[in-house]
Amino acid sequence: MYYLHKIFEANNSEHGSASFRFSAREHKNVRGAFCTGDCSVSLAFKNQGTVVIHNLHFGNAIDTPPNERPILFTEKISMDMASGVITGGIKKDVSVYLILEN
Amino acid sequence: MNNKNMDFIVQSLEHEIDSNQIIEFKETLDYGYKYLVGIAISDVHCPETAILEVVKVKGMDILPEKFEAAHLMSSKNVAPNKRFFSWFKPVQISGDEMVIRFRDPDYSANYVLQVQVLLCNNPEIIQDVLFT
Repeated sequence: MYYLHKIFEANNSEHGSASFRFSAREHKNVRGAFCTGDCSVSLAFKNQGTVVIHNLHFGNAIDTPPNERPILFTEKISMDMASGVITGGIKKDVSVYLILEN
Repeated sequence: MNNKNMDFIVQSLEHEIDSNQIIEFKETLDYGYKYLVGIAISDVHCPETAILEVVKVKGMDILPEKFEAAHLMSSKNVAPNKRFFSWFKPVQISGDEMVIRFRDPDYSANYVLQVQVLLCNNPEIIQDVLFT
């Protein structure tokens, strides 16, 4: 079963780009990620050793079914820390979510 | 396929949006169904910039706070059975009340917000339909 966790929410102080870091209290299994707003996201997980999403553009995807909009990883990733960068013009409504698996 | 196992219903929750402030509305979910497995906004007047400040059942958050309405919206190009957002653990219900706090920061005129929830009795089978 899945649940969502918001790991980043833009506020008024960010302009153009922002970096963020999310620490979990315990290891989490990550199934995928998605973003709100018209921007590009890079995302890396501690212990993974690589950037799993590199400068991926998330746009308005209203023609795509909501369940198919997230980026799903081929294998679930066990992590306790995620970090990322958002570029491409931050607006108030930019948020980044992880899909976590029990 | 066993039709009893596929038993589901789409319940609509409607409320008039008349300001750019947080508007709370509540509705009792259908007593004949045990799980809430999907949520969608089917309103063409609702802008993508609108925010679901809170979506709760039995005091438990279904979606993260300040969840953007855009994630629950689809165009007419999306098949009706694919318009639900289901990336959350199925919520066990028993005629419980659903609470929604909604805010449209770009409000310009009154409209009736329509939120649809997908209720079923067998979440495993309906999940296969929603995700494939």
